Amino acid sequence: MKKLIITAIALTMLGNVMAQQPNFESAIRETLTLLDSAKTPNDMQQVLGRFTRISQAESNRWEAFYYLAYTQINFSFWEKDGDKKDAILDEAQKSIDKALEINGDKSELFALQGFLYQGRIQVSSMRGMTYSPKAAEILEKAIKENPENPRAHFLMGQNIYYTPAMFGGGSKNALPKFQKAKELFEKENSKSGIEPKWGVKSNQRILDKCS
Amino acid sequence: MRTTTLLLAILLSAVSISAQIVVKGLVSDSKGEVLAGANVFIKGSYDGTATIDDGSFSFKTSLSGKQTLVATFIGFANQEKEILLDAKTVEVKFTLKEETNRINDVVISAGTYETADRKRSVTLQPLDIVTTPSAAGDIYGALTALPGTATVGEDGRLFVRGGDGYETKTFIDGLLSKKPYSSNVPDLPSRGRFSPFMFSGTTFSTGGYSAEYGQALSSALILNTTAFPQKTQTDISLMTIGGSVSQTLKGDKTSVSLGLDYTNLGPYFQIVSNKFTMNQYPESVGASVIFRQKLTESGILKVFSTYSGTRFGLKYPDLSQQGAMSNIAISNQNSYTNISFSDELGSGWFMKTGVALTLDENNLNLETSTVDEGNRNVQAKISFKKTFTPNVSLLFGAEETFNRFNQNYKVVSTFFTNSSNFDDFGSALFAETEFRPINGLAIRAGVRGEHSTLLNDQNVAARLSAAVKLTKSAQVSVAYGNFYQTPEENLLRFTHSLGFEQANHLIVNYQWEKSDRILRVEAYRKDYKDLVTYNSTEFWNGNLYANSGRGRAQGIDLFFRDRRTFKSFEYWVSYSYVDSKRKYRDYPTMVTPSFAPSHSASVVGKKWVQSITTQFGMSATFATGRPYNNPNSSSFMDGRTAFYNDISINCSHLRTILDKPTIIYLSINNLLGRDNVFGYRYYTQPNAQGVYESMPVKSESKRFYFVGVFITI
Repeated sequence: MKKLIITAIALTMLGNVMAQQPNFESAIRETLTLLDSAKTPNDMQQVLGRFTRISQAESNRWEAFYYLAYTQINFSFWEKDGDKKDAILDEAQKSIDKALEINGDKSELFALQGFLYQGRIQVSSMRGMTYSPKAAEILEKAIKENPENPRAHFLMGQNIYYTPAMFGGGSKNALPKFQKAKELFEKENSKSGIEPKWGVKSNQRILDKCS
Repeated sequence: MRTTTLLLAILLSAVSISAQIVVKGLVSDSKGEVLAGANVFIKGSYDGTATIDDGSFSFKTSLSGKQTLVATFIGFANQEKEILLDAKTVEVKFTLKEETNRINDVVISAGTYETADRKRSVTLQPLDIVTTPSAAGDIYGALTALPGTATVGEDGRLFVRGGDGYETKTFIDGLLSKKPYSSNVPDLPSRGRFSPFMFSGTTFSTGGYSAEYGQALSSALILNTTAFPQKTQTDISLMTIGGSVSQTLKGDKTSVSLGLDYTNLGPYFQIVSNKFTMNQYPESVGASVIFRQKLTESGILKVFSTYSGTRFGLKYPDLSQQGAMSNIAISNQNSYTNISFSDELGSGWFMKTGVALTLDENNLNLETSTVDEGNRNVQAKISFKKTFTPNVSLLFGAEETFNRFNQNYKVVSTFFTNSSNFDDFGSALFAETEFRPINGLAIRAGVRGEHSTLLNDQNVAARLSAAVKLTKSAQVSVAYGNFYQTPEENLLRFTHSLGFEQANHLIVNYQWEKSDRILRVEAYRKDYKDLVTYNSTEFWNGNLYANSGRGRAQGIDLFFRDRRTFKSFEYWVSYSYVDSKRKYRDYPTMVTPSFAPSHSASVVGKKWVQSITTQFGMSATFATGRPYNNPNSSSFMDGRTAFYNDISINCSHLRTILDKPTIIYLSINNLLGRDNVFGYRYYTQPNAQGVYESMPVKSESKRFYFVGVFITI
């Protein structure tokens, strides 16, 4: 009986601690749900705030910085002013750098870096000449690190899709990448952890446009 | 008892779970404006929230005791506050301070136009140079679409704010480019030697520039070469005037580009009529090597070397005799090598060093006389920059320039010859600090000391500038500085007992910038001292050379650029007014020089049409008449040419040819075919009626057509 009491106390204490510091994975999942349903810039700010808090509390978890950067990049698409976009992307860059520093998944982070470069192009189409090859280079690296990473293929497809056809871009050239990404996304479906899983819908949307 | 313990434990834990405390408050900036979207949280926990539209926040936490509450917002410094979680609600107010080094902060902008890839808010992008119709692909041509510059169609160099062409110097990766312009015969314009594609960033200073640069009375053009090529590729261009091919090989840490080009205007001039009879159509061969090596994580070694050979010959009126023509020919060999290395040394130190070498051989044959000129110039430079805090930095360095000049002048009929050879060692030391004592104020103070062995003269120049942020989008800058320059080589042929020429600049600048629109207004005053004077009839008499000239230029520059109002359309407008007067060289009185028209204005517009992947561009330039000297008139330089007007158009079409990305480029300069007169040359002898007859100075042909195909493999 004594043992039972001690166990009970220990368990409740543990529960207590858990209540104060909710489980990292569930916090990430919960915030990702919020991100999915975000409709206003304010919603995005809330999500951004949450990921910032998680990343500062769990500064050794690369996923925290990964999602923070991911949200920042997405948030930059909501912003209209170019300078502000750049400022947000500068923050996202810091998050990616940090995640790489603590040995995060290289393939995923390189892919995200490519996504960030694509975000830079949004500021001014003139930048395409610089950032589009940069994105292509890092996305190639991402694929090299893990050929099974669907996001790397999807983003690569996107890079090609938005490159003028005369520079080897366009939907025709991008299609195989999106198809490959789709195949890999389906494989990924079974995974249940908090590793990156985004991109399925966007890939499908652009795939529909291609065909 | 046991049960009690268990119950107690459960109860206690239940209490601590439910005992949630509300933390609420407000976040605003130092001006009292609320900040929406600021992140407020308890350090080391997930507990927190973002502020809503009215700047307020409120969240629940189950933590207790002493905690640290943090507020963060982009562009503002993080703020931490100790709080004690012992009541039901805890209220906290944050007043965040703007970070001084944030993106929108004050930048000293007096006198400078910057272009770079990363900085978007700057006035011109590198690609703008290539797509400005009036520029015809020339860097210097594009810069004359900015205010503060004059279109001097028969020369091609940059004439800045009422200053002469020699007063502008070009620097590549921080090092002098002694002969940045192509060589041409008198009265026909030269162009920049370097392709605009080589550079990723440009700083064009129309005055008041940094102490790091010297030996330019008016202006410094600072070009930075691209860091590392994107990928291995082959570029081929075919143009109506020639072609070029370049091969880039890129490794992880090393890259090499080799280029060859050939131009010949022969075929073009056989189709399109031109003013002169050409004995030798303009022809040039060029080669270049660009090498890059990453030596350390942050250090990159850049080497680039170019060679070009040009020749050109034409029949030009002989001004000593009515109706006579003389055969003029020019041949030029030029090479430029630039080696630079920069690296971060840790703890805020940054080092930059390099060597630049110019070798130039120019042979001009004027039929009655020949001028053979050689110029060798080597510059070595090292500079260090220490950033103490984001608000305080110090730059200092040293520079040594060796300049060797030799000229052989021969008059064919009399066998008269004159040779001048001289060497000059120029040394310079400079230091400059930039600091931001308070938010929204930046001050830069520098000093530069120079010594020349040839002149046996030294100078100390002060450079001061400051900028104050007025509102989020507006700022005012001022700049003052002393600028010294060794007299041009031509003036040192007959004597070396001259001193530095001097100019003092004072500039006031207002800049307003908001979401892709920028407005700049700049007023300036430039005072020249110690300009070299000589006697035109006895130009060979060294004793008559002296630093006794002077001058001034004052004016207003306006610039407005808009990339927002119209979709896929951008334009910029520039206007300059200058009142320039000087007495220098062989001027007998203080007059407005021929290169300073009072009013100049230009408009450049570009429209991108996605459906046909083509960009259309148009530029219009207007300038009031330029002064010229009419020997029939009793007063000096009182002639005025008719106004200058040029409308140029271009279009660039992108497509694939044989699966390769290709750009097809077309441009027409001076579309309306206006017969612009840049000035007049007069016969040296009067005609039978005692009148000096004149010959207008114009461009080779009225319109200039250009077609090019650029392929990347």
